[in-house]
Amino acid sequence: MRLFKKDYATYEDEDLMRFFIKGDRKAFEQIYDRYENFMINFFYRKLWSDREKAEDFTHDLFTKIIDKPTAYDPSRSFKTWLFSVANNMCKNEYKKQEVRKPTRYEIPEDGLVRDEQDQPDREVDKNNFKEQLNKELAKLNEIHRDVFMLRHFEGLSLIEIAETLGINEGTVKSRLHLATKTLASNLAVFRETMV
Amino acid sequence: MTKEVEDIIKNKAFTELTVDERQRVGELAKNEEEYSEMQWFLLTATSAFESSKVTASPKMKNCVMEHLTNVGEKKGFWLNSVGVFMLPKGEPLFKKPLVQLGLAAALLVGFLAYYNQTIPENTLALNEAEQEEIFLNDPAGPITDSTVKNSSEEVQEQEMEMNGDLSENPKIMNLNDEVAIGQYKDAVQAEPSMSLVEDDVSIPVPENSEFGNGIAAALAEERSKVNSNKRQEMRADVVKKEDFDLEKQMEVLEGEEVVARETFVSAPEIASEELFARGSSYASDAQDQIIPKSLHIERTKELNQLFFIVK
Repeated sequence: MRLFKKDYATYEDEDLMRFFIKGDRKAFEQIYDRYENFMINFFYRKLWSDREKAEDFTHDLFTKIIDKPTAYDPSRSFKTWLFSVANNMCKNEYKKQEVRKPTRYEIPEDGLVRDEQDQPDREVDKNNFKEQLNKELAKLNEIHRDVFMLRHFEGLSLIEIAETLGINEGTVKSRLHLATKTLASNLAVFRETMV
Repeated sequence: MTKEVEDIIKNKAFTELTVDERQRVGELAKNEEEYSEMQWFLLTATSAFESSKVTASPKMKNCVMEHLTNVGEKKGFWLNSVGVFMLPKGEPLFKKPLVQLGLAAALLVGFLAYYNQTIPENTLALNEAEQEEIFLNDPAGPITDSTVKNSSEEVQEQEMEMNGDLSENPKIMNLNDEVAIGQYKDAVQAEPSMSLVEDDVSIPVPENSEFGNGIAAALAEERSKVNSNKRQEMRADVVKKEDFDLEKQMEVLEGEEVVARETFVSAPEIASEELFARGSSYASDAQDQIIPKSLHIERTKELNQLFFIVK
């Protein structure tokens, strides 16, 4: 079967982009399937948990890739390039909305429990933890918060974070350690109730 | 490095760590208590993030794929319309329209360049002059130096005719000489016949008879016709004779025809005197008479020979 048909799932992102630049439609479909949820969640959290806005931005991001695939530099990592483009789109949106402050990640409200009495105690503790986590993330400095969310929410490596944000890998590492230690110490109170 | 540290913290207990792993984990957790706290935080936060993730709707994917299809159709339009037509696959190189158009354009440009280089400006000017000559061409033929000369000669001849200097024209002089001598001979030979005609006409008939009177009247009428014709011819001859040069007349007089000339000269004078003596009504009657058509033609030819130049 592989003699006659490409197995796009086995290809790296960079190879798929090369195929797409040459006009391979299925290569783009594979890329879209890989990063659709990543991007919509990224925008969802970066853009004030607005699902409609997140979908619009995700749509715009992929249409930009379709219209101008040559904008991608194959020598770079596609994942970091994609996140850097998305991050720049969010920054432009902040400038439009004249909101400098909210480069903050928010855990969606869908996961929060409204009526605490109808839920078991364990779920209540989880929801409380999420609320408190959001608050602690909001308290963090923007540069520390971004690194932490890219690392633990988006799942990027230190190198990818460094390329996405355009900073040194050592800086990413130190920022990440500081953010993790701060959050862990501030949320340690929930450990006794949740464990 | 850090990912490995986090993976180590999430997946292993503190007692399971190797010496190397403990050194690496020591950046985040220096002892077992801190390690356990960090492990709980990372696992709880990861689960919280995972549970809070949203999923994209299929509608968004359809929109993106529709955009991809539209872009592909736009590219396909150009490929199908222009690219496929100009460079069809499977055709020989010389049969492709783009190659053919390119060759035609190259030939045209090359021809124009060669044409502009080889023809100097003065040649172009001569060509234009020839075209003007062709443009002025008329049914009479092209105007050349010879035609200009001929036309100038004709103009001179016409002017001479208008001025009455025909005697100075050598062509006309020769023609007059021939005509004059010939006419003169005829006139000389015709002179005695005239007298004979007159003699022959005078047929004796009994007088005072009706038949005789009728014949006499008819004869007189016929005689008057003949006399009028002869008189006109002689007048024409006299006019021609007056145009002769003196030298020609002297030559004629020195020849054998002197006697005949004198006779000729005297004959029309006598005839005219006789005709005029018979009365002016005779002459008028003769002029008013209708001349036969054949005579008309002959006389017209003679006059043409006398007064017009045969080209």
